[in-house]
Amino acid sequence: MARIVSRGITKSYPLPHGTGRQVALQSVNLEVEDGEFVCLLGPSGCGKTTLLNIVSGLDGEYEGDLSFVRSGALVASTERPRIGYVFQEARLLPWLTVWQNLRFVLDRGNLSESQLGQRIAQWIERVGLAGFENYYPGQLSVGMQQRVGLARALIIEPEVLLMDEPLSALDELTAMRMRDELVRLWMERACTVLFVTHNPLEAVYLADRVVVMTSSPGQIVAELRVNELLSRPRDLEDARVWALSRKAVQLLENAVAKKAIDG
Amino acid sequence: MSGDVYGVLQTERTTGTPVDSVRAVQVAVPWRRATGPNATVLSAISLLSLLGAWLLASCVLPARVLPGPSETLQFLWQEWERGRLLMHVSATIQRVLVSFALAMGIGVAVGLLMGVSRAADRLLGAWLVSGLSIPRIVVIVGAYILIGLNETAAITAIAAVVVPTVVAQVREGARALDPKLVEMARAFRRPAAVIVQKVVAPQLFPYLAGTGRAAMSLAWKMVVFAELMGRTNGVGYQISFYFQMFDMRGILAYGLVMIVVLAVVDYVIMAAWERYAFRWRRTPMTWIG
Repeated sequence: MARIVSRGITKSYPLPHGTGRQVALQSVNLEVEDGEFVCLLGPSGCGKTTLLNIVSGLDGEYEGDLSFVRSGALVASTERPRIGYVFQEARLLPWLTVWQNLRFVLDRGNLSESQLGQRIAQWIERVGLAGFENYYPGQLSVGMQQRVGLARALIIEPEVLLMDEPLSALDELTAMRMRDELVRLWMERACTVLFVTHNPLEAVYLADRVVVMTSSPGQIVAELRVNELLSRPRDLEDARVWALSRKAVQLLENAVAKKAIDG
Repeated sequence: MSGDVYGVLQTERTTGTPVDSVRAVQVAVPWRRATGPNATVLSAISLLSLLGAWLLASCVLPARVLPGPSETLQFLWQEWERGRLLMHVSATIQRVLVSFALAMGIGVAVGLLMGVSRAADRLLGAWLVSGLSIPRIVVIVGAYILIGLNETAAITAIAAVVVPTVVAQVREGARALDPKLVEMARAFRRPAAVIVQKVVAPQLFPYLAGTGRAAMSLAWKMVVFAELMGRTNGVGYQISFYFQMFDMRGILAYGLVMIVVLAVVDYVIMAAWERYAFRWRRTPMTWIG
């Protein structure tokens, strides 16, 4: 497990024709504790994905500090913790089978090929895809593809799990089931999760803490400590879940209104 | 032939555990019905009607103008017995293979460069357009004048004619590379060599396979011109020789050989490789936005 510490992260893109720069993220300070489940909630285009890409190391061009702390000690910037990433679309390699897609992200390390095979089989089982090992992604439904995406992120035993609206392409019934599975898998192994969503109900249902972001420029405007108010397991029918989700929307609206007045 | 049934594995998106959610459904596509055992019959009819038309025309026209299939085959057998057929055909095949390899090597490298780098695309743009539109005969004649009437000129000319086609197709492939999959591989810290091998190369395969077939059949046609104009052996030379003798049997016989060899190369070797490379595509993709 690892703690994510980001301080004053600012990211801007040059606008076309040299007309200045678009600020995507403005001084973002965000800490995610060891084993904490944080949802980043905000409208489209508020820089949530940009932030995930910076945390994942895909995007190295930003100002500010990003570091990881593992059991009290700073992780060297050359080392980086193991990070699992679940994208909005499953992003499986279509020419590899389910089994091969999972094998793709595994390093041999000091395991034998048969030990790796066992681990892959376990994960295929855990996400409910036993029997589909040799299917190609194109033969699976979108929901099943995303399960493979989830297994692929978890099989590397990540210290940090990044998820970018992983359920938004699914129909609500499938998404509901996947949410429960996700919570179950996370509770079993407790890695640090940063989960991006634009769905307030989903954020409240899943997270220990909801961090609210607004756009132009993307910045953190509020947070909601859900775990102080709701214990797990949670129930989507629970009135408190709905109340908190309304609260999250309110926080977002207040911030937008304040920005409009200030701006 | 492939696909005796147009079967589509339909998957259910919305409901159920994975086990009930996948269901093989045979989708009837009326305009694709002409497959199955019928396909072989239809192909046979196509081939036989071609042979029949040839036979019929050869009966009507004088034998000097259009010899029939049996005369042509007889002639072919004579050529084989004299050892000429093997010698000339193998000379041609060698030229095709060397220039094909050369053209694919250069064309793939340049095409990738142009597809990935916008600057390279602009710099080489005029070259590509000229290369694609120049009459091919000009390249062949030009090579013989510039380099001389020799083997190097012939191979250079064939390769030069094929390269632009390869470049154009490979460039499309490189442009169509999905950056999202590369991003995924980078997020999972896959080494660069693995990314090239498992993520980039498979995306280029469709273009490389199609390009290979197009390049092979183009080289196959161009080699005849090159030999006809400046070589002393090969199928093209034989055709020019029998043209001077006004012997239609020789021309048809060598033409026939070219058809058969290219058909074998294209439908058997290239198509088998293509099928292998795309086994994952047998069922339709359900890409999500």
